[in-house]
Amino acid sequence: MGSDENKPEPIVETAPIPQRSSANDVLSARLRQQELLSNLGVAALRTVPLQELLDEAVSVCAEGLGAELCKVLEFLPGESRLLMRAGFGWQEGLVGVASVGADLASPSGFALHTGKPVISNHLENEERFRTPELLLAHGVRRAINVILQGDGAPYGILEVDSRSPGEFTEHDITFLQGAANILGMAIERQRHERALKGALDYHKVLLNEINHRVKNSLQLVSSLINLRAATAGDPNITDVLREASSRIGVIATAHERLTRSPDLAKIELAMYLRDLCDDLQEQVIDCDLEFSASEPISIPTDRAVRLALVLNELVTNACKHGRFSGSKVRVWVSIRGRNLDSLSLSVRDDGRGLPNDFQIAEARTMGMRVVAALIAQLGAQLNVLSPAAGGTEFLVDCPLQARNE
Amino acid sequence: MVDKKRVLVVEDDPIIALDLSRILKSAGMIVVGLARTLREAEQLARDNVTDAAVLDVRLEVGDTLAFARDLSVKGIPFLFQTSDPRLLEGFEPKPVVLAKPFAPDKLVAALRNLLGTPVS
Repeated sequence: MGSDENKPEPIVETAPIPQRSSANDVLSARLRQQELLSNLGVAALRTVPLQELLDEAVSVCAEGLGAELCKVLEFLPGESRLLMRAGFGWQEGLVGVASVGADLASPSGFALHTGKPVISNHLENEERFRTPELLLAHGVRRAINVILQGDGAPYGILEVDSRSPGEFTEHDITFLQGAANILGMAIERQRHERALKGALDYHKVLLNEINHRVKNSLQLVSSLINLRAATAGDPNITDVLREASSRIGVIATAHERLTRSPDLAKIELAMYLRDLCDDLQEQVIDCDLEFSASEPISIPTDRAVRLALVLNELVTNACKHGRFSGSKVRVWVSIRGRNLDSLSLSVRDDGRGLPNDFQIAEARTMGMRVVAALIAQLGAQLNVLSPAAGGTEFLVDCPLQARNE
Repeated sequence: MVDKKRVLVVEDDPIIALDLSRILKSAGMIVVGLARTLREAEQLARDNVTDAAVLDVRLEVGDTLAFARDLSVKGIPFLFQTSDPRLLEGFEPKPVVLAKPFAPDKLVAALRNLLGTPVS
């Protein structure tokens, strides 16, 4: 709504404004109008239901113009009618029911279609317009109509009516149009809010649907691999396929966690890795897995998934290779925030330890090559330690954020 | 040896259904049937002695919620496996739910729990 827009020229049937009251009376009436407009402005900024605001507005506008009756008419384009949405001073049961024609021959219709305020100070002699039945029935002698409009299509009309003699003036138009503009903005804002909420709801449904499909697809891929694994005939191939399926599980768990997280870009790593260790525990029956975390660590989702894949490989490895024959391997997984911008992930086992000449960079198993690639991508460091107590510890130091290099 | 448990599977995706069937068989259970639609599920439940059921929630047409309630009435335990656990919010009494994708062992463990049979 342009504030510098020219005020539409009013259609007033009587030209000179009569001096009805003393200058003091006029001044105090105008001051009261200012106050009322300002209160209405505050009310419009609150997020109250539109009906409440309209109810308040009709009482404010009647008071502001010292009239007995006021109404908000909503334009119903399909019926070419203006329906009473809010009313002050009318017989009961008319709000939401009574309507007037929206054609150019009705004062309200004229104001609606031309955007020009309409004053009729002598309805009994009115020749330009047809006086609506509703006004006649309530003994209305004069009426003032202004358009109610936000940015978009007109909402309808704000009308003040009076049974008393006297005249509405151009100053009254200024007041009433001011009130209508405030309402227009509030109506427009509520329209926008409804549209935004609709869009948001739609996106939530879409997101839900996509999540559903992603998880279903991951299940499908996992099932395909499991089926192949079962019919491979060669235990080595079966193992390899099971490992592949477990890697898919790692990604799926992240996705599952993510759909429950308020922020899709970030994930809480400690809970995610804990879930993952729970899943892993069921796959590595000959290992005892223990997980500990110092605190929640929120990191970007793609980094979390990579770290989880690293963890998956290290744990699977510890369980597969660390075992002395017959006994269970114990594996401790712990994650700690090191400082504000990095974390450490440790996977320690009490197995038989790595060969003395083990070099991660030269490791040839697929699992270790995956680990090395992921570590490099994360800008992390992997150290392999041989604790005095025996076994092996893989220690990953990883920045929380990708570093620009 | 204890009698093998008879499990009904309702899943509209044929590959996932095959995998479920394989998992159950390799855990020593009998799959009384793979139903892809509600009609097939009802038919299979009528015609077979069933100890438990594994149900996908959303099928190509409709869902298995009412079918699950019928199973409850008959005293047949069941679990849901779904990629959208929210579909089950408000289902009473709180059912056993496996979120897809699930590890085979989880499914078997949950089923054994339902059936009250210890791991052999």
